[in-house]
Amino acid sequence: MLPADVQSFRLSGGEIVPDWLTPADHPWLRDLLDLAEARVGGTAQELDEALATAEIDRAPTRRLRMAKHVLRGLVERRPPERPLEPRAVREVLFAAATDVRSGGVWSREEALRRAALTLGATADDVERCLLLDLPGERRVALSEPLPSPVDLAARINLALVQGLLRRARTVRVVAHGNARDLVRHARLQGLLCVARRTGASTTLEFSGPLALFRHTTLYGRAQASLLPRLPWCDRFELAATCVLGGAQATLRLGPADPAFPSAPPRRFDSALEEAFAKDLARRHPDWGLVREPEAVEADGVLLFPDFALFRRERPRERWMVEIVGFWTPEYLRTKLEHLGRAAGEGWIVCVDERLNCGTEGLPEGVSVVPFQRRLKAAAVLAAVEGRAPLPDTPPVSLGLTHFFVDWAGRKPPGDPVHARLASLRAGDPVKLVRRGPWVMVEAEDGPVAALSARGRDHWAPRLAAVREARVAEVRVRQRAESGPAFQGLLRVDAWRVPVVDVDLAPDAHSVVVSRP
Amino acid sequence: MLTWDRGTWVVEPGDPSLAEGLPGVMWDPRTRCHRAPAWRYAELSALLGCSGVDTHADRRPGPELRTYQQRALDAWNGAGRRGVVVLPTGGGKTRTAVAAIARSGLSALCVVPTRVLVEPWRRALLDGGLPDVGQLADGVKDLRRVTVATTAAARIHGPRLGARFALLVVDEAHHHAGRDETLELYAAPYRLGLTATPPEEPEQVARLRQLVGDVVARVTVDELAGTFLAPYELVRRGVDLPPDEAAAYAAEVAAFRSAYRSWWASAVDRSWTSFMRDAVRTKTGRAALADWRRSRQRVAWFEAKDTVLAEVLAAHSRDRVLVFTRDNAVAYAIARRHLLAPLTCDIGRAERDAVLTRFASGELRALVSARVLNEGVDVPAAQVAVLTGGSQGSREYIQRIGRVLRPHEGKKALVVELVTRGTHEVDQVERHRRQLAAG
Repeated sequence: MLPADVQSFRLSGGEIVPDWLTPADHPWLRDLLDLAEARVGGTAQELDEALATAEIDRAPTRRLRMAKHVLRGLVERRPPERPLEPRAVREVLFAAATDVRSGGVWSREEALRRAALTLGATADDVERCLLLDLPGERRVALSEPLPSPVDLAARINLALVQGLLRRARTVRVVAHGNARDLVRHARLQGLLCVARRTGASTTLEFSGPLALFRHTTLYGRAQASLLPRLPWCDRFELAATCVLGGAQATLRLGPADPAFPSAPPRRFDSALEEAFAKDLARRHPDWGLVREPEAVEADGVLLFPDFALFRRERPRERWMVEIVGFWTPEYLRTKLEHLGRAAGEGWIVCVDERLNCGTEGLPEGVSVVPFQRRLKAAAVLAAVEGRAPLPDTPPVSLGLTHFFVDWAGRKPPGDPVHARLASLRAGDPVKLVRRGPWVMVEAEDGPVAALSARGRDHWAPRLAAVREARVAEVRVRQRAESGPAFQGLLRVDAWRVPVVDVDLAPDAHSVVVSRP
Repeated sequence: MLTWDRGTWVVEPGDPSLAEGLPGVMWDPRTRCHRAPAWRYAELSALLGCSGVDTHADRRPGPELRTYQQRALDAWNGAGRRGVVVLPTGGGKTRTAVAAIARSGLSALCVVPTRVLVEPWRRALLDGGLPDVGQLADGVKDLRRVTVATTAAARIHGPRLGARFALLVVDEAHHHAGRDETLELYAAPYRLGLTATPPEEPEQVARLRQLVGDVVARVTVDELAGTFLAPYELVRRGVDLPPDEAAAYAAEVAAFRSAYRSWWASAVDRSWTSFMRDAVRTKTGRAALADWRRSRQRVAWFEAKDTVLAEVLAAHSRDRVLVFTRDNAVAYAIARRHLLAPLTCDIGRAERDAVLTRFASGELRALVSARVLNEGVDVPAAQVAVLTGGSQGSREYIQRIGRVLRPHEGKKALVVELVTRGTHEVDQVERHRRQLAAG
């Protein structure tokens, strides 16, 4: 990433506008790459001097500085071939020089001659190899070709925004998909993450514990490390509050901005998790495992478990598994108390005994699965035994007060809706769908009910959070139950109205906090 | 209750309303709890009557101390085991700290500025009777009751290990008087800072007070010279740039000053850091910086200085000589020309240790270094220091001189300063000498 004094950007109304490299810069980037390529085989010092003094035609000064900085990091610097080992030369030569000088008459040539004799080499070789292992003497080499101007520009842009993120106080990301990978990564980096579910996306705010008190650069690297993972979300918007010379400004990034994605997120965050999954599949085929289960909201907290375990014969009963990183006994006690309040027995915590940062061992009376090096599926399943699964979120009843109860009654007797309603049974799946100004309840073969204005106000913002909707019962409504003002609008004397149970994801408007 | 969380404390007093008034405690809306930075532990644990750091003591006698060292340790103990001890280079700061650790018996983290100093500190602690000394540096993570760590390693591991030690010993404590945040990550209620050159700017003094404590003991070079430090002579050798170089120097300085004055007239923050930051953003500024750098480069090393150095080396061919330079490039140029062993950050640790051992035995009699020998590295046999120029401030100047002040029977140290007449070096050296006299 680029250090602060090399970053190029401008401020516009409190917003940071990065000085992106664009296709217009490719020609001079090509010249710069050619300059570096021409120095391959030369000394690192020669390359550094060439880059320091090079004035490339058409290259904007500040972009050129960024490019030089990134390019320096792309070349290798290898020790040159030498007939004598420099350290051995120094050991012999400096001792010889001390002897010569102590004799009262200093002669550099005499010192070199004596050292050459001892080393069985020529004085020229001795002199040449004296400091040949220093960084400046290394030879410029390429283990892989230099990038193209297109790739170099992308790398520079990434280095620029990573450098800016290093100066951020907080980083907010609206992630569509792959939120869990970001949360996991943030947790591993020691960041705090506040997560808020908003429809199909998750808003994540990253910061460090000490950032509460003042701006600090302690978390800069950790925050910058989020950036290459963002392009693996389906969509993302990033907004970072950066502190620049004492003033705050906002950096905004989206998928359209040039970014250089990292390798895709691994299927498992570690070999440990992969081994656990394989062990379970091999030895306990009656159990299934979900990697990256959806976050669980509990007690005002959004929890991101590593796995969900379920018995294949009863897949809705789940136990969540979390593998704890570094821990202290106090941390474990607090965590387990919280999980106990929030998630009951359905959360299994696995603790690597080697990652204890405290001075005591596992606290007494805490129910965890300890392991060293390998987490065995049998140990986790033994912990599951006898524990109630995670409480399932009870369904919400979409009651008659949310329905436009006369909707079917206003249809003529031959309207297909009556036949649909007559064939509806409890347990049948339905959907809540927005149709223009209406929210309709629809069975497979068409609409069966409409929501009232009150129902629309309540359910329209929550439609994306509906996981499942089923008919709980079908009631029959009589003409006499409708008010006198509406009698003239009714076309039948009796009609059916479904009562629907809705399985809802956590409340879209609640603010939840992802604890460490 | 105090719960450790990544360099901070989560504060949960019995009555939540009490938390708001506690020092350093803030409500954290992110995690819906009260939180305080790690370094506030001492105050919070006293007010809340709870502990989060193990202060169990395993006392040992430790090394014997000289009278002034014992006075310094007594003063530190009297100040509640928090404070900065100022001793000149060669005055035995490490020994004093080892005694503090051994006699307090507390778990301790010794924070040293560079990896060069890790092994000397470990040896000093082991020689002082501490049985088990760990190390956090150079990729080694060996945690023990007493551990030596570089500042960089302490910073990286602070969020995890910050509640593990009761005592923080901070070598070259003046480095932590600025923006460095490392000490904030540690809860250690007891802190000992060591330095030969404490900060003087009020902001830095306040910062060090906050993170370590006040200066509790101060001893100057002159108080110890001739008794516990070797007596020394300071000799200035003036040299002249060749006429063409002198003219080029004058032109560069004039150009720089002109640009600097223009910037200074409208700058709000007139610090050098602020100038550097602004200068790189404009063509004029970059040109001014280039002129400044070229002028410094011009006087750093040239033929006349080389001639004087050759004279000194010849006159002291049987003495142990340390040559200090502005930067590595000059150090290597001298190494090549005079065949002196260079000690720089590029030289590996094994070779560095071997060179220092050979210097101590007399097999090598002269070393050249830019910065590596400035702080902490023990070269007790050194008698002559040649300052070729480029000391980064009075602090470095004093530290360099200190390298040759270790007492030895019959030793009188010699410090030779090479000063280019008619340049900034003249004023620089005057400032440094005044600072040396003031202690």
